[in-house]
Order: sequence, then C-alpha cells, then structure tokens
Amino acid sequence: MKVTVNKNVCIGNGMCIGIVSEAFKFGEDGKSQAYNTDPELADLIREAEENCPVGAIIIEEDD
Amino acid sequence: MIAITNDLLDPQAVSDPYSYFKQIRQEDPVYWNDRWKGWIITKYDDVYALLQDPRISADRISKQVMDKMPTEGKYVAEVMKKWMPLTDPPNHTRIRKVLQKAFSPRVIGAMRDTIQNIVNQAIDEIEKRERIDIVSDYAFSIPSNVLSAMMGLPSEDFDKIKTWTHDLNTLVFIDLSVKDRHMKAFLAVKEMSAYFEEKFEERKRNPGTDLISSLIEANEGGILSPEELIAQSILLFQAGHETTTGMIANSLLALLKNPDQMKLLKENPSLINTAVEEFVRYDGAAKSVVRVATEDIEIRNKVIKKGERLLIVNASANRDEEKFENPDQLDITRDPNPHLGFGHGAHYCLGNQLARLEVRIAVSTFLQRINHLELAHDQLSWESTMVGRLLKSLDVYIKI
Repeated sequence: MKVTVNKNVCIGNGMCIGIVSEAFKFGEDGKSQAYNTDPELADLIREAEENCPVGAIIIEEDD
Repeated sequence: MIAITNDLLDPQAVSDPYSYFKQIRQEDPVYWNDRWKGWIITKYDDVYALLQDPRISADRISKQVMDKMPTEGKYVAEVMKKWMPLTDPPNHTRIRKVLQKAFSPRVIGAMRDTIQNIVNQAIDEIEKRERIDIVSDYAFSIPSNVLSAMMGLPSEDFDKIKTWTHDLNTLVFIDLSVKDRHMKAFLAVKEMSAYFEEKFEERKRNPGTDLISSLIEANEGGILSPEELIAQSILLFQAGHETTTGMIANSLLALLKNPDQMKLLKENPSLINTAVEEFVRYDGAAKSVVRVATEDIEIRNKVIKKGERLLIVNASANRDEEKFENPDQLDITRDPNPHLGFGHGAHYCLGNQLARLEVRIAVSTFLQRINHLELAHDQLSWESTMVGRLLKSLDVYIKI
C-alpha cells in the first residue's frame, strides 16, 4: 500500500491524525503527511482516506 | 491608531467589509478594537497560522457572557457549547469523527442527482416570473430541501424547521433588534430537541439510508451521548442553511456585477469548479470567526493575552494583496486559489463538499435555464452581523 497526501488539497484539518496518528502526522507546513504504512494499519488508513473532508489522501493498493 | 470607525457593524462596514478591512489590514493588521474589546486579525498569513494554532480555542461562550444571560439564554448556550464548531480537541475530534462520515466527498458526491432535482424544481417555480428575489424565491429553498432529503424529513415539517432555525439564529447571530431573542431561541431549541429525539427513536426502530440513520450507525458504541447527537442535528440545520443560501446569492451577485465573467461562465460551463472557488474567495458567506487565546501569543510585535478574544477575518485574508494577485477582481479562472473561505485547520467547514456541490449546481443550472438576468435595483441590504455575509434580498428581472 502506498499512501500520499496531496499538499495542494490538504487543509490541515487533522481528521486523519485523529483516526490514525501512527500513520499520519502534521508536517512543518501544518499539513498532513503519511509516515507509516504498516499493513496492520491498512484498515485505519482506509478509514482516514474515506473521512478526509477534502479527499486529499491517495491510496495505491499493492497488486 | 487608525482613522477608521471602530464600530464593526457600522452600515458602511457591513455593506462593504472589503474596503473596511483593507484599510485595517494595511494600517494595523493585528488591530485592537476598543469597542468590541478584542483583536482583529486581517492578514492571510496570520489568519492561516492562528486557525491551526493550538493556543487558540473555539470554546468562545465565556463564563462572563453566560452570567449575563437570562435563564432561557443559558439553556440555549448549554446546547450550543456542545456544538462541534465551539469545541476543542479532543472533544472536537470525537464529535467530528461521527459527523464526518456522513459528509465525506464520496457520500456527498452520490447526492448529485438529488440536488439537481431539487434545483430543477426550484427553477420550475420561478422561471415564468419576470421579477424574483433570488434569496427568498430561489436560493433559500435549495439547502433546506437538500438537508431535509438527506435527513429523510417530510416536506410538511419544513415550515416549522424554517421558523425554528430563524428564531434560534436571532440569538446565535446576536440580532439586537429582537428583544425577546433569548425566549425565542429557547422555545426553538426545546421544540427542535423534542422533534429530533422522536426522529432518532423512529430511525433506531426502522433504519434507513438517510443522514440520521448514518449518524446513529456512526455513533455505534455511544461515542456521543444522545444529548450531544441531538445538539449536532440542530447545528446541521442551523449551520447548513443560511450560509449556503447566502453563498448561492453572493455568487449570482458577483456575476451580475461582473458581466464579463458571467459571459465567460455561460460560454464555458466547465469553468464552474474554479468559478465556485472564486465566489467563495471573492464574497464568501462567512466573513469571520471568533476565537479565544488560551495562552499569550506574540504576533507582529503585539501580544495577545491569555483570555482575550480574536475576530479572525477570513474575508480579509481572501483579499490580501500579498497572497492574491488582483485580489479585488473576480476571476473565475483563478487557479490555484488557496482561499480561506471555508476556514482552515481542525474546524474547516464540515459541509464544504456539500456546499460546493450545491452552489455549483444552483449557479450553473440557473445560468443554463435563465437567459437574461438583471439587477432590479442597486439598493443591496446585508444582514448586520459580524460573522455572516448574507444578503437580505437580491431582486432581479429574469427572462427564460
């Protein structure tokens, strides 16, 4: 699983961090960044993607 | 000191907040307003930074304000204090997580056909007329019908919901001209609470696919108390209603005042996405938000002391000449457009996806079906509030 945050879209809402702080954190720009894609977190990361208020999280699933 | 009225509700400042805040922004961007007894924040960078600063609290109904209120007002304030926009993390995060599911881009995207039908019906009702008020005859019906459809509420309940929302807003938006506003808001909240309580019970017995059912589902495990859930339902009506109405009207007004942009959008309907972002930047429905400092904050060589309040003026940030080129010009092709019209940070508008979609459909369908649109007169009248940018009416001549 590859996870990226589109910085042009992210509004620093922190919803993803509220859902799974083991996978997302605030960068110095106040926007979210993905730092851990441990397979054990996959479901929570998908939940974060689904709940992002602006759809800034992009997940590419492994084949 | 700046040579400008310190009355934030001065008629001139209400009708043209952009010139008013421009002067403040250019002369004293972190300005202490002695009359309101708070700081006025007007630069883009400061608004952006403060909206995500953990030293700023959204819990702004202070004990002093509560103490001054009559019993009825206190009751309403207790409900409002549970509203998500007035809470800080971790409470805020807990509440938002339940509501967010129902407002995610995917869920809202699936609402497109429902919204289109509501907009089509709204135009069917006005298109034969020569003169309409865009606010009451068109814009108003769209968010309220969309919310009712989302919540699965019958249309016959609609008039009472409209009255409740209006009565509640006399207190929320501090309309000093309504002397019995505390009592009005109190009765509205009491009746709305009973109404939603009944709806929640109904949906628990017969779950559906509506917003109330999904709130119950998202609240599985009782993340929110029943009182909290009902407070948020009242909030959704209160918040989603007048702002979206205002946004639709402000967008059409912006086009009326900029005929070249109206022509451009009519000829290129695919510009609607960037156009709506620009409408929100240029004349959004939310002018500013109130916050409170929980620690001393130093900013531009001034110190905002712990406990002092701030008016964070998104409308001014969106016209900051250091951030936007030609900020006072409406440019529906502007891209990127990093406006702060929906706020920023933890309290970024929950309903942004829904509002964007409603405004896109409401504006583009209007322009497609109404061939000629012209202001009936130039006497625009705006609601006299510090936070909203809402037209009382927008009278136009139309022809299909």
